[in-house]
Amino acid sequence: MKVKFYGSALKYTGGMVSVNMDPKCCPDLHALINELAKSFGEDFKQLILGGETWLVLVNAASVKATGGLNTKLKQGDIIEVLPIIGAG
Amino acid sequence: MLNEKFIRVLYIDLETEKIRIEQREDLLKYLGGVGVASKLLLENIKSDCKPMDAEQPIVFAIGAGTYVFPVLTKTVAMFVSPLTGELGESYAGARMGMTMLMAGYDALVITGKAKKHSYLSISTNNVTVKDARAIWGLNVSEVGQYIREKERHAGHADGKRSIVYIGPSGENGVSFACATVDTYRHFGRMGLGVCMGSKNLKAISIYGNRSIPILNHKKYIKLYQELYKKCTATEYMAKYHDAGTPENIMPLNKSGGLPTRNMRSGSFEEAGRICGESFAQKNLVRKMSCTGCPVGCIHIGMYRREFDKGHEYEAISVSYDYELIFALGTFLGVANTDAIISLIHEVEELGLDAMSTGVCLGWATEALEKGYITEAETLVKLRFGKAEEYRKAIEYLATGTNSFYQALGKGSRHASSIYGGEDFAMHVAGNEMAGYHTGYGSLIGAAVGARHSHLDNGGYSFDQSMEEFDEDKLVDMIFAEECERCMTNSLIMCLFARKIYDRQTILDALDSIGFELTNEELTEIGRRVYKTKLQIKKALGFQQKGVKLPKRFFETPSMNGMLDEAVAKSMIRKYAAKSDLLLAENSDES
Ligand code: SF4
Repeated sequence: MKVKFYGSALKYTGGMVSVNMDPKCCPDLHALINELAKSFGEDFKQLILGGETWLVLVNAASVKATGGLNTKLKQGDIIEVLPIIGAG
Repeated sequence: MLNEKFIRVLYIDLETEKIRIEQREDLLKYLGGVGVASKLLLENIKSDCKPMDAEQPIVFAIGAGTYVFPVLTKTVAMFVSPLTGELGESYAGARMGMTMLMAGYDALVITGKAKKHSYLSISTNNVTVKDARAIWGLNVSEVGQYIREKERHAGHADGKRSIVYIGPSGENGVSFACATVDTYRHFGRMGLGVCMGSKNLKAISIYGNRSIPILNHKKYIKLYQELYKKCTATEYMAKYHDAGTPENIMPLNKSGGLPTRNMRSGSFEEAGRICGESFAQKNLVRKMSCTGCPVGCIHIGMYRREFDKGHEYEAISVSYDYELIFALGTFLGVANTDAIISLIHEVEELGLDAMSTGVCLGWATEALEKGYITEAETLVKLRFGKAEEYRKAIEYLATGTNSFYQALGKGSRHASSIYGGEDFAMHVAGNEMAGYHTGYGSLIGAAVGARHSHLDNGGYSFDQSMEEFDEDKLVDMIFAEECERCMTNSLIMCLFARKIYDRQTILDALDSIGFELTNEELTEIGRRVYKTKLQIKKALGFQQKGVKLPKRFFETPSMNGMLDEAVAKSMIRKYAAKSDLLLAENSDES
């Protein structure tokens, strides 16, 4: 499965726009974030877990509607991490 | 007024050139900013006259904390909107708030029509109506240059002067003409520019050089430092500084909330080419700040254009943000950053509101395509994605070249009422839509909001945060946020900073500069200000219940799926009932 990063998320990934992950070690979104934190650090993890400023999509659908951090992941999924919309 | 127990109001009658200053204790209960401006507008509007009547007032006000704390930078303008025919409200940053404070005025009330084309020069001890015949008809940048040269104050840097000015659109009766402030900021929405133009007022220059002591310096400086740190060293404001609001393009696109090609779609297949990253890589040349803000969210983009044959080039730079990219980019199907900057430049020079311009042109493109209008009327073949045609159309719009462009210059509601295509004229109560098709929050928020803006109550943000849609809960949230923003806009805080200024921070900040208020009193101020706005709207004949929304909002899926017109109507009714209750409250104000 593939994780893509957009906008200011790139600050936490050192500019990396996407990574391929093994679904075996990341059965759900929570596990995936823990796994990513190994490369991108605790700040990245805290930001996503904080939840307020990030939008996470799995196969183009917001995880808000699919169980949030408990959203199940599988081979072939595309996970996208985007900043939420903010306009004042 | 800082350190004083009154609000200092400067009244200017352009016709008689008489001025007077009032020190009003009674206005303190409105705190400042939009609170004071609303009350002054209510006192001075002529509800039986047209928006552009000479007697209608233009009010400017600064907030209770303007320039004293970081990110409290804005000035509010209130007027009768020629676009919607009711309450007009718009905000701008740059230096204006600071100069009004330093000149010693909390608010300006401008009435009457100058006998000849004029500009106003305001300083602490002097208010003069000056001759502007030489600059009437000139574009915005030329006006700015002229006033900057004329309004030099011996021995003082230009940084203590602010200029508000209009372009040809404001002179030519375009209902959504804007007023530019200090080159890169604008009172963009609802037509302040044409209100100034109708008063023969091309510009206002304000110069202030007072020195104002902070009485409780120790407390103030401690709080200031904490706030400064929050603004510069935390995530709260980082995104506004980094790529800026254009960062919204990708999440909106991915989630289906990005109005595209007159909102036939909620996503744009070329979004990646015009997202924040693309602008940053191709066009961004610097970032700037409003005076008194350490964030620096104003992104200046540049492109090189050929202005004549024979290798004649010039560099054009404009400030860009999400709303402009939406209105002149995705909404028109334009997928090139240089082309979008060139369109922004065109609207800037002519003094138009970019959002209304883009949305009106989106309607015109579809209306032409569907045969409601012909090329004999549009003069160019408007097609989604064709920037050069749009550039020409913007010029025709600003100058009112023919009766079609004169009608379009009165907004998409007006134009579609004449030519047809009302179902896809994307305005909300006469104000062209903002770039968020996120769900009921954004749509109903704009329909019931005081100025029909996404910023009235941030409905789009509830569309993201609400776990499960609940009609009643959402109505309550929108109403509460509208009241809250009436209070924060009385400070006046840049809305980007609303997470930094929580209630306790606001109370501490006000306390350190001499306002002893309780949390309950802040709530009361918000309700009082909102009630005043509702009174203005009622006096001007507006009814929340009467808002009719174009069908397209219910035909194109939003970020939260397809919206149901019946649900939208029910929410507007429920909200209107809450507004009626507030209006009927027997409190001490107005
Ligand atoms: S965040 Fe941006 S718009 Fe807001 S005050 Fe600062 S520079 Fe101005």
